Amino acid sequence: MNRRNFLRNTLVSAMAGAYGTSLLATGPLLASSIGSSFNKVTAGYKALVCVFLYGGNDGFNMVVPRDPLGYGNYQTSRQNLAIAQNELLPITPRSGGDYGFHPSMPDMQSLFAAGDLAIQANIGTLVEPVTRAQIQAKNANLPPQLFSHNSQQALWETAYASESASLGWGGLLADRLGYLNSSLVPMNVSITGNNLFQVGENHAPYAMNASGPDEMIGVRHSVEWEQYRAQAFDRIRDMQSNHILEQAHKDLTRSTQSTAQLLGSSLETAPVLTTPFPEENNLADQLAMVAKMISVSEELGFERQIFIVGMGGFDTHDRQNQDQPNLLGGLSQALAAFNQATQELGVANQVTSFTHSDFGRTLTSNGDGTDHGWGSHHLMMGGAVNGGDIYGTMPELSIGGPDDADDGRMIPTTSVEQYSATLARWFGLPENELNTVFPNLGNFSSADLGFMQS
Amino acid sequence: MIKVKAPISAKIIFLSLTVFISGCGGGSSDSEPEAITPPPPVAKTELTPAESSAFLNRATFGATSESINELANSNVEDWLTSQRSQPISRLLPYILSLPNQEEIFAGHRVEGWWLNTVKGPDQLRQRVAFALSEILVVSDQNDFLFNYQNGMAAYYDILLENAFGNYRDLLEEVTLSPAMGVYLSMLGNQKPDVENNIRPDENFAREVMQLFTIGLVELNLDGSVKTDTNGAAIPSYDQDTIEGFAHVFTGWTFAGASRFRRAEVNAIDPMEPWEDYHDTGEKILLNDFIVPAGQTAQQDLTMAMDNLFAHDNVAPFISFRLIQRLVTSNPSPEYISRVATVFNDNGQGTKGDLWAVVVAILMDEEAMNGANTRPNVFGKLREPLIRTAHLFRVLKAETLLGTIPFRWPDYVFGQSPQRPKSVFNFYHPDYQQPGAIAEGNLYAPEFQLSTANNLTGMHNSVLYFSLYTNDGSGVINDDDILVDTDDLELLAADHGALVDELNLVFIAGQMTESMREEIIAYLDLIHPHVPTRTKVLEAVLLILTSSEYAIQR
Repeated sequence: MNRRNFLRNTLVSAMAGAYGTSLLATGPLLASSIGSSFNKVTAGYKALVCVFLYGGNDGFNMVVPRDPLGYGNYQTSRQNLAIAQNELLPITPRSGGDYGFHPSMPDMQSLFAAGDLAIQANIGTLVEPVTRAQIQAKNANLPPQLFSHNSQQALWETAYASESASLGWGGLLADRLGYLNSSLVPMNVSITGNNLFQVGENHAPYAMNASGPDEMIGVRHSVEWEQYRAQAFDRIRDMQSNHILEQAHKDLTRSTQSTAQLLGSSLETAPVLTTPFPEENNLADQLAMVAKMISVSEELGFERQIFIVGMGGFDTHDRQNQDQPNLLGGLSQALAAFNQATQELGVANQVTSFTHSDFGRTLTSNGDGTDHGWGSHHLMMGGAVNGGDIYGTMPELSIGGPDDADDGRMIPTTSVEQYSATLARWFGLPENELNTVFPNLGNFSSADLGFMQS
Repeated sequence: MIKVKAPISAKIIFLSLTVFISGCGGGSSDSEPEAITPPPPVAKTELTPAESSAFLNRATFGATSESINELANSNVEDWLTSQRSQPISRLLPYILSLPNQEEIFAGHRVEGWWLNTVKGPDQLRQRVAFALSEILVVSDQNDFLFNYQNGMAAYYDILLENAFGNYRDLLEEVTLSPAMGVYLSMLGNQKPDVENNIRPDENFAREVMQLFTIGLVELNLDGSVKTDTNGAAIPSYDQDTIEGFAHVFTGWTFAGASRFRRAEVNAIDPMEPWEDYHDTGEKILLNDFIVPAGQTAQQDLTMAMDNLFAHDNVAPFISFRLIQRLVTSNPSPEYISRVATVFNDNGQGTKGDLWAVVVAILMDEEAMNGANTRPNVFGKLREPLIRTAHLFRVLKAETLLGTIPFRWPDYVFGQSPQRPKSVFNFYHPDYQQPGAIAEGNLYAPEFQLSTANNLTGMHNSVLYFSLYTNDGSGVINDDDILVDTDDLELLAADHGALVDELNLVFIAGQMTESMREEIIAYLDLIHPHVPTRTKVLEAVLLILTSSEYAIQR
């Protein structure tokens, strides 16, 4: 038995044994889905799906140059961590060049060829463009706390590299476009925990598991023998408190209960997808739930939704050669399944997925792994993506070369803000709001990287 | 027994002892007995039952009727002294005592953790060690460590053993533990190999500074951020410093290994140095301290530990985190400053005395009186594990075999001991829940873990461990966790008395009158229809699922 099923089964049987009931049988939420028509998404609907690769994905082993000069530089820098040239899965970008995906990512190779996937080269946190000379002279205007996990995650989430900020760019989009929805449940849904990306002035993430929401039992008005207790529970919950944390807990409890009810009953009507999602793949589980949410978006009253899913383990300080195939392979399979699911739902042109990650990794090795870097390649997927191409500038993968800040940390040539702004514009953020949501956007030559169809 | 809600103010009895020592014997005869400067008066802090409960909710895995009585009939100083000398309830011996050593898995360690935290007499040590496990994080969400649970347990025992020791010693033991060595990849880290573009691993070097000692930016004693003339925060180190430490931390692998690379696993004993793999060059550390060339791995390590420990940030950085784990998410700068002062000097010139720090945290006027002086912000959201341990303690939850097989709590409410997603723990110390908490610029770390499913799982597990437990009327299985309501049933004829007792034990007598009335009314309503045991558990359920209980004050 695999580890995850083992855990789940152990838990369930322990619970069932202890209580003579099953933990998972919590009301109607997990009732089997009823197949029905797929006309549950409006024509104007759009969704952004952020795929966060926690720990700092090594983009330079994900997409690798295959031409003699480019591969030579890569091989010289990466040494024992380099992927063999003949193992790379070739792709031919429309704009030219010869590159290959990591051998564990054949699905990405196919999607790239089919035009459903594009690559943005060497993105990172930047306040403004910087050069190696400026960095070495220590007069570059740099983001704070480069190379620190949580600090850099936060700069990606806020798409503002000047200082730490309290609102994420997904939240700021929700503040501006949420009016299009008529839903009673939150438009920003996280299946990877609470996060800064989805926090706006008026929006907060609704964080749930890939299995969907559960109900608080024992206090359900819908269950006859729980009704009196439910009334007492509600009255206690609804007593106002002057204590800020306590009142926040009351508010959170109330909204959690009501969202679980609304969302749970809608998800019951979700169509059953025939698209197979890979087993033993937590990211795939999360994306399957996103697909399910999208499939009932009209019923829930959504014209716009922002999702975030996540995958950990990318902080490959050691065992990189052993771990990378599982990480990148898992990512590739999960993304491909999700892409197919959006096609099955007929919403491929309305759903755009894209990666985020703390940072890239050093070209130098620490023996059997890499350390925290800066710029890295990223993926954009969906029917509205101008796929089959690499955007931006591929760096020269040389230690001490023009793109090396130091020790093989690549200086980004595209900023997180340009990347986010391109996605935000497709999502419907008005032109005149771009510079408000992305304050440093004006520091860069282009506000639209061109990878989205207009 | 009804406990009357008492005013929250510690009664302090001063036992003034004036000590005179007579000049003794000898030839001198006519001189007056010489008065020696008396020692300062010894203050003993007596607490009311309600204050005792509040104190115990910070210092233990939850107040119980028995522990409240014990403390209320004694005083804080004596209670602390008694706790300090309790034998340590360790985790590794438990693991090693289990049959079938080949089949030890994570659930066994978690089960041992419940036994120690629920039943261990060394409650304060257990609580502090748990707090430390969320600062000096090693998680078994790691392919290697998941399969070496004895290593995870040995690591936890280091935290237990040093919980009242010195932070400098703890830091070195943690650094050399194989579990940490694996988790942050210092194990196997080797000196540079320029030809192959190999340089030392920066993982531990970075996180030991960012998370275990000094943090990203320079701090004042009160935890506030130091700023430069432009008002900007001052980074406490840079990439060069990280590389300096990364070079220091080279040359260590599993104890007793026959080779450095692919060394045989010893997940329990401290790592050992292999000088051939240690970088012997000069290294520059914090505050431009220079580690001279030509030293051994251990000499370098000792200097590096001293260098980290000497930094002014350590006291406010660690003090703030411990206060957050034990007492309140939003301590005043003055509170942090008072504790950090003790961290820097325990009164006898020693820095890093964790016993003195823990006492300073728990006995601070803000801890004792914060519910009155900072009524809208004092306290913290109780962690799911601690809430559950509290329930287990009060209801004496266990199976017929005396075990507590709640092995996968993370699947229920997102938290299991030593199993956060990353070295950044289950939550960040500065997490701000969107809404009023963020608007008030307040921190609420535990809210970060409060996703819809975790919040719901917490609620539902209270139900499972109270009302839905096996009542003994039918078959009882070996893994059925049972609860003991006998003492509470004695009170249950008087609904007010029952609620008052539960209020005392769980909410330290701080329940609002309106909530109290609501619960009594509900008990009155169901009274004719349910057995006494059910009535007790219904009251427990409404209290433990309430937000008044969720926030520890």
